[in-house]
Amino acid sequence: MASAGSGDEKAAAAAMITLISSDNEKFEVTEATATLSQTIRHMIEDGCTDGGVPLPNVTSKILARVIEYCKKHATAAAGEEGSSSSFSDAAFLEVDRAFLEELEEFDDAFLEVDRATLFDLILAANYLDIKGLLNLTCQKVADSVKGKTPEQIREMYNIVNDLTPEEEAEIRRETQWAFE
Amino acid sequence: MRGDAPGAAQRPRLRAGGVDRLSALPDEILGVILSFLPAQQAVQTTVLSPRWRGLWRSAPGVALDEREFAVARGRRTQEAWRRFESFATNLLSSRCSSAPLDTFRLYANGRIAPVDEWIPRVVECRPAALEIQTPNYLVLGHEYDYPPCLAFPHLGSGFYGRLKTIRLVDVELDASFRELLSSDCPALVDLELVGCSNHFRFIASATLEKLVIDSCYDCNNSAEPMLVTAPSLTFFKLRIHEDCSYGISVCDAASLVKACICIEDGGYFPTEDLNKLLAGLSSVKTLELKGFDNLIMKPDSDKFPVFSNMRALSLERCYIEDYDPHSMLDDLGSFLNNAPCLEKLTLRDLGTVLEQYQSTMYGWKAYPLPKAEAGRTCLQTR
Repeated sequence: MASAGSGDEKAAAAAMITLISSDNEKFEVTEATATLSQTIRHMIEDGCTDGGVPLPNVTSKILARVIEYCKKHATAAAGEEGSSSSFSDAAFLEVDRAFLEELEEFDDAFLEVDRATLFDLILAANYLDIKGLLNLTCQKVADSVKGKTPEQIREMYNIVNDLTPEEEAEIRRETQWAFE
Repeated sequence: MRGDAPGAAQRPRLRAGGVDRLSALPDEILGVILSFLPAQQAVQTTVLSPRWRGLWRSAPGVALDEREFAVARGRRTQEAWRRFESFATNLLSSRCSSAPLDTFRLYANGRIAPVDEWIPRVVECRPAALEIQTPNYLVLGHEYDYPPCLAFPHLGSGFYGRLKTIRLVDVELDASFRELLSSDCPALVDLELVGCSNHFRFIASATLEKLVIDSCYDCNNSAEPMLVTAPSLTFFKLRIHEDCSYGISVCDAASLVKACICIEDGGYFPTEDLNKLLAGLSSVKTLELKGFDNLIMKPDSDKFPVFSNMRALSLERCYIEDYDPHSMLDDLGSFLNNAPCLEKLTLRDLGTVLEQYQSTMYGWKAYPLPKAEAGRTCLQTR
């Protein structure tokens, strides 16, 4: 049990993995950084990372940003294996509040991107299975529509409403309890 | 990845403004986005377009918050509550119960009765994380002869099989909570109880790793402390707030990494149970003790445990005004003698004891930290 953790940490930190973006750019990262991605973690476990990991769904521009996120968060994850808690870990956070504040600032700055990049990051986080990044970016989208009416949301994201007024009225009736 | 709904292709994707990249995301991702929205708004996305119809039913997160329904300036009214109750009941009955529920959060101020009716439905959705806050239910629930307890239905481990995290705030928990933890939740990792009134006396879980008991009331009229048996426990925090007494003892916590015991002013931890508690925590690597009047107890006694793994010890607000600083330091020294691997000692806010008797510091030096290097010892008086 314990052997998987601290004992191998040094060995894992030294191991480097090469990630190859869709436009064939190579990125060399530590295993600790790469394994924030469950997809890559499984590849490492299956021993199929020699010669680099091709990521045909991720451009070099997005991969560079994803790696930037992973590097920062890998340090945080090292302390807490797997990060099991779904709620804010207030009690644990006491341990290193300053670091967590720094992490939060990093995340805020990280999210200062245009909408197209945000969607690309979401898709990359989903493909690479990086839960923290997926939640962070999805939260950003959710925040952008919070408090907006359906019409405002359509406007904002170019959602085409091809429902007829009758159809829309019917759907509203179905879920009337949510529109009171 | 290619999550387009059937028929989506023939619908126009372009509008004057550009591409609809949001609707093009796969269902799972839209579910995650919906989980971050207030519940009412998440359901309302059903009218955005046919692509969105009913997506909310399988969103992996549900957050029901009565404050969303409060009228202006946070004032709660009967009407607001009625709307919340109807909304919550409808949402829970219309949600797709086969879609995995990763987190369920509920905030309901003042009432517990309907919450009780919702829980079985929530449990049917096999949640992985539960957070329930029911503040002030005692204040507003004065029509009850005795405080109502929140009951978790005993449906067997099938329904609680995914449950890893439970966080309960201001909830009254009856004696059956013990069975829930010990037999119904085979995967529980995190348990946090804040401001809860606990009518159960045992916490037993083979899988529990983190346990936080913060400002809870022990409602057992028993001389025996609550007993925690959690062999996988790595983190334990107990905070006792003012006007409250809480006895607890921990056993079999061989993998404990960190423990924090904090007694706020006016809180009380039965002195006679203290050595017992410390004995249960003796595997700990990092120990923080705050607010123990007579912490530097009787370390010489045979029962005082040896902390063979302890690397860091922090003592904060552990003094009594009239305690003789010489004997305090003596006792502290004996404590340290029982921690052969200690590397870092933090003394914080020991008040007058250390400040007025700087000269007694020599006494401290008589007990050098066995493994400490000069630079690593941390001694703070404020």
